[in-house]
Amino acid sequence: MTGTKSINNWIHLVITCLIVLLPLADFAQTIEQLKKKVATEKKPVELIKLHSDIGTEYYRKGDFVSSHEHFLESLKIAEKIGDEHNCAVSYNNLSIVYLNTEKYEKAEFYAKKSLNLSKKLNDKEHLANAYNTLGNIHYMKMEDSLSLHFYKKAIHYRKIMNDSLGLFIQYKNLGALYFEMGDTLKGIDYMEGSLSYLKSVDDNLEWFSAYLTVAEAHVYQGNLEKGKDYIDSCKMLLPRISAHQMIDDYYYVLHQYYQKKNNHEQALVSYKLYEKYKDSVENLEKHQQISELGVKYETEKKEQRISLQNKLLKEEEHSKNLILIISGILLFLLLTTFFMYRYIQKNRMVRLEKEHTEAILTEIINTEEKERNRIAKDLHDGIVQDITSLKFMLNAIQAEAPTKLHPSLSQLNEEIDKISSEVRELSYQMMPITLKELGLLKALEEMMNRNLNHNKIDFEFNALGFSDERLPEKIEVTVYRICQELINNTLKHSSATSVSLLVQLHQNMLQLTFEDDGVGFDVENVKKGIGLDSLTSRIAWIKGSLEFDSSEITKGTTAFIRIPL
Amino acid sequence: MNQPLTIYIADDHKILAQALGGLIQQLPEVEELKIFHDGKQLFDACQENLPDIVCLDIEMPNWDGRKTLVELKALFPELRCLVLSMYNEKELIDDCIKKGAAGYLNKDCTLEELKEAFESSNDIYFSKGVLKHLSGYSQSSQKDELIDPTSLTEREFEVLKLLCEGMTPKEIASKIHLSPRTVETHKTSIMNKFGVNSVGKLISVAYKNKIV
Repeated sequence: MTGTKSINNWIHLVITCLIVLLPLADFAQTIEQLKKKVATEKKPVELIKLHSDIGTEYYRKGDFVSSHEHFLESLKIAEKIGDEHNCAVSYNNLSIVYLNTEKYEKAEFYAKKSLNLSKKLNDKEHLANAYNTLGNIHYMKMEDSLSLHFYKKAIHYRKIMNDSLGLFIQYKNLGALYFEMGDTLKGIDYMEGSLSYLKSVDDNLEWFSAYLTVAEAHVYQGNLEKGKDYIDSCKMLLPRISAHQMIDDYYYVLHQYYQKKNNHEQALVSYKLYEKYKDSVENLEKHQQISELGVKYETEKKEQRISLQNKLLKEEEHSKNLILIISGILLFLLLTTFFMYRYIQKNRMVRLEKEHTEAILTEIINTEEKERNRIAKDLHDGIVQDITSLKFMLNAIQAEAPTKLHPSLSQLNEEIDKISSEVRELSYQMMPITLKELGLLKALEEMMNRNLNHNKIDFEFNALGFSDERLPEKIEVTVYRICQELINNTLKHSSATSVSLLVQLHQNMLQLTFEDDGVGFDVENVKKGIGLDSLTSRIAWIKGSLEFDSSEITKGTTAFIRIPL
Repeated sequence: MNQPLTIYIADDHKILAQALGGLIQQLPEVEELKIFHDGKQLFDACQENLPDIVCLDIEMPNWDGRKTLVELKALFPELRCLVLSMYNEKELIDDCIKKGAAGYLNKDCTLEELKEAFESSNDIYFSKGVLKHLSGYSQSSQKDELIDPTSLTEREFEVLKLLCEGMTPKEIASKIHLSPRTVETHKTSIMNKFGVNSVGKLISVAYKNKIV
């Protein structure tokens, strides 16, 4: 099917501006043509596309009221004919319009709608767009870590799609985010890096906007030389740019540059040019007009429809009903708005609560691992070495002691050995050095050898898809503890005779398949057990999933664990 | 009597290093013994005057034992390096031997063991405590089973493929519109045909035989 296109959503540094993809001169003509088509078109699918296109044109021009109107129209038709793909697109487009009018709650509401639908449809392009929009919303709300999270999600899907324009936008946005977070060098790195994705794109305006962003970042940072290089690159393209919104940004950056250079004369000249172009841009007073957009717009629309009905009714002289209808609709709108508000509030509460729980869990697990690490090290580097020194001293005494003391000294020696080996085992269980030094796979093999062989249980350990590269420490330690928990569970409860563990690394997904041939258990009952509780919380902590398959028919227990990297 | 030996020890636990040094010096063939408290010091000393044998602890500040081992072996491939550690984790011992250690001893080994380790110039030497841990391990059977994929039915092959893609039986059931029990039956049948007793083994055999 031919879906309508999502509008691209840019974060422009410092100045939030719109990227005008088409020269403004073409605007009136384009709109007129599109509107003519709307008048004659009957097919809903085509109408969805046309309204979406018109919305995009208005958006690019900065007329958010009209843009909103057409995106909403597009959405309504798509909803009516059940076209979910275009619903996802329209939700995202609406979200972007709300974002640009700084109505973040609504923006987030629609972006999430788009995200959920895209997930359901498993459409990677829509997913990437929705994540980018969410990233932008949180960027604007200064919720940097959330923004970072969503940008990374978006990058993930853009990479799968091999979408170079998308990647350009993503890295540029990511760069802007790092820049704003105070990591200016990383920010500039990402922004400059994003330029390489533009190579395949043949559009002066996109190049112009990209150069301008990087130039601005450098100037802001005080890298005047580099900033000037990028400004010059923009200057080369300037004759071919007709979008005034971009040109005014150019002069603004130039003005900043001269300011920093202390060249006040040139700074003034460029500032005047900036003002000239800025004034020439047809700018709607977006904030004021849009402020009541949500409710007022809908009301106006309904009122239009009502006035039409009114005429008909008048003809039939049924004007009394009109008041009823209006109040009915108004009441309906009021209730809808109220419930939507409640819904969003509730959602936010749930989210905050969840974030809080996660933070506590992180704290607990981190502290536990830190302590285990410390104790293991103290035991091994301190006590074990001290005991060994003791043994040496004892040996020296033994060499010179009278013969009748030898039996008791030998016994003492044995006791020391026993203590030493117990403490070393304790240190190992706390934190094996293999895990720290040689990585997860070796440590797992070591653990299975130690714990299972000792108990005369056969085991099978396989690893697929790994390279020499180590996994992140958090993942390694957590996965190790998960396996430790599973094996302990098997040892304690299952009376198994063989165990198998398969660890697979496949497309950034770590997959564990753990099986034993023991008695199995009733999954629903045992899930609440203590051992499994710490297992599930560790898995939840690294955003993994756990599925048990345990039944009397198949004998034994199988655990499937998936962990995204 | 053998030729006189020069021995360097690196251990950051000073009392223990002293005790160990005292023990070693009881051997008549030891002519010179120097103690260092990190790997880098020992390495620098080796560059000035090469000993016959070095004894390295694993965990040390500055350069740890494994790093020192690698650096020494790169510069002096013939130098006999023994690791003296209280860690008895097989993978770590393997790693030290792979990096060129001539032996792995626990620090509480006997004087006789030290003597043997110094003298056995060809074999890799393990002290008794270490050997006890190494011998406890039996390598899981590594023979590569040959599998005949044509023995699978079309459905079984499909189930196997999805298992290998990382889906759980429940997910497979909903994907190919079968009941979980039917998928379970297919799974068991494939495992029987391949002569394996776990899904983990099944997947790894399938990959190793390039069936999927």
